[in-house]
Amino acid sequence: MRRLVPYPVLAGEIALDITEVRLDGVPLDYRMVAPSKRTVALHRAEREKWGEARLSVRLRTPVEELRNGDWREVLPQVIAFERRTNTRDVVVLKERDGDSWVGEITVFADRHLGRVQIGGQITATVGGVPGRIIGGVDAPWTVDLQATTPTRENSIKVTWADFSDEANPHLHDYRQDPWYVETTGQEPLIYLNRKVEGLEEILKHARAPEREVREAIASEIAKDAWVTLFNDALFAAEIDEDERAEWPGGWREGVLKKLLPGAFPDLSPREALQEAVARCRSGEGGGDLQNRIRRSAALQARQYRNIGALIRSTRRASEETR
Amino acid sequence: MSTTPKRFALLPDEIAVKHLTSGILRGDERPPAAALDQASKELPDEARWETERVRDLLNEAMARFEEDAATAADAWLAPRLHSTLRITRREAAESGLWNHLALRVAPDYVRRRHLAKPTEKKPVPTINAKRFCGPFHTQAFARLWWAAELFRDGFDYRPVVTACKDQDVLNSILRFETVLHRPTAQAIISLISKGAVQGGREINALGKAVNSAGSTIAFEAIAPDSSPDPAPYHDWIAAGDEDFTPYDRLPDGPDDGRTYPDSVAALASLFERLFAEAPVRGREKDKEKEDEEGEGGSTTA
Repeated sequence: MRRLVPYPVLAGEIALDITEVRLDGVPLDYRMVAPSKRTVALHRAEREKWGEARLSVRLRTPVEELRNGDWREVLPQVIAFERRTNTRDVVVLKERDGDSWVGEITVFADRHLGRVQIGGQITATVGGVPGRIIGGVDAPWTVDLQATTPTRENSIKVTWADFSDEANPHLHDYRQDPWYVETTGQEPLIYLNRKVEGLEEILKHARAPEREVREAIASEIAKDAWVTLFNDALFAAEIDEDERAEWPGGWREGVLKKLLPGAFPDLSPREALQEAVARCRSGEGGGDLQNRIRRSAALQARQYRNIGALIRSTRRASEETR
Repeated sequence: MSTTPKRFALLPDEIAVKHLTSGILRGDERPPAAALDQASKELPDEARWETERVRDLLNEAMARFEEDAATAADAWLAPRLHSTLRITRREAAESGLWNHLALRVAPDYVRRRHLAKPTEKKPVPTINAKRFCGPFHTQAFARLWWAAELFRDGFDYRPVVTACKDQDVLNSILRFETVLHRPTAQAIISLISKGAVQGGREINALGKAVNSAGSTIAFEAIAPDSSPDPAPYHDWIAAGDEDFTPYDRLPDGPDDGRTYPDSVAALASLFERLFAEAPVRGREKDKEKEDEEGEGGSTTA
């Protein structure tokens, strides 16, 4: 999706490649760089202490368009950004072979903690205004410093726990529940209750006949989680003195941007935020809002497909036993 | 006070939140020490994780400033907290540390700083739970540390004092992504410090104007910054054992490079132009008043 701006921007694709990663000077095993997932799994480097990871990057830009367009002082940059550590480092790239730009950006261990987004932008002087952003990288990379299993951007982390165990006092009140959605942390987390009989087996080791059941349970959990996260994020959105709703930042902003289009398909994300927040505050239209949220969460969790498959398979199974 | 733990620890968000009872938020009760200690994760046995110096600093802040001098206390405390608690951005991003500081080491400070006076509308005021456990721009201590980290100009903490002298900088500008670019942060502070932008409404209007311009203009492209150099920062953390944070004069921060004056000046003049065109609540009225007094008409281009 491109934003509308009052000056010409690039229409062609801007692609970013990470061609090499050196961890404290030593090249990182290529298996930890996954171009298909656009991730660099630094946490798998098996080095507790490291100081810096230097990434060699290449930015490919639409050649013809850049040559013929009305842009001057074109400046491609690569950006390493992590909101949790309030760090945004920018490096200007140099032209190579006429169609791409190369350079190195360093991710410092002291300045990052979780997932660093490696993106890029191209700026130019347009109509006498310097520094205009005329294009951004369509698919940024993620450098993962912490995850134990590579998680895709925007997925919710899941962990198994015994809800009645002493180590989890915050789960005691929910010890009979199969799952619990934690929203207070830096990142949301779904706890699955090991003590609920059969849950672990079916979610982890479901065989063919049970697969539809697993998918249906998984999507029910996912939908429930999205609804919870959405509500949490909506309540976190504040209103400025002009009555305009503000994006809440962090994962909450990500959740809203993901689910608002499904809840209010006719509105832009910004308008949808305004509408949803206004309904929360005014105390009107709460039921309709919850229905919209549930629909959007169900789409996100692919619940329609998974429940459909479950119904079809149970029907088939009962026909067979008849 | 005897229950203050000797060392900092990491207190997970989910535990912290669940212990913030209404009694604590009203300021009547202290958080339960034993339960919190049991749920906290220890930090390595290093001198910099000892709580004594931070505790002493907070005692000094309470002794120096009256309860109603909150802003002055913030401006005094922010650079000194940054100088006393020597941590990396990576460590500062762990909310567990701030939870522990607020709930275990200094709940009394949070209470004194963030419990409002009773009013007719709210006869029993409460502390916002996010002052104990909340995002970096709201949590009682994280906001001060991050303000110091994002607004210092290399070793120079003076811009931090300017930034913290106005709650609007802490409450709104601090959370803008644009101020992660050091010259942008310094340009905003320079306009405040020379008086071109004054008071909450003007600062908010400037912040919004800068933010909205930042969505189509990359300030990094027109105002370069030096590349980050973590080595001096590292040395500064290591020197923490010997360094002494002065209370009367301003300490020096980590000497990891200042912003380029040209970059800051370029952005300051851009922001001043943006601000001149920005809508400010109540500015029209002020202008009329100024005109009546015969002082109207600023000469900024």
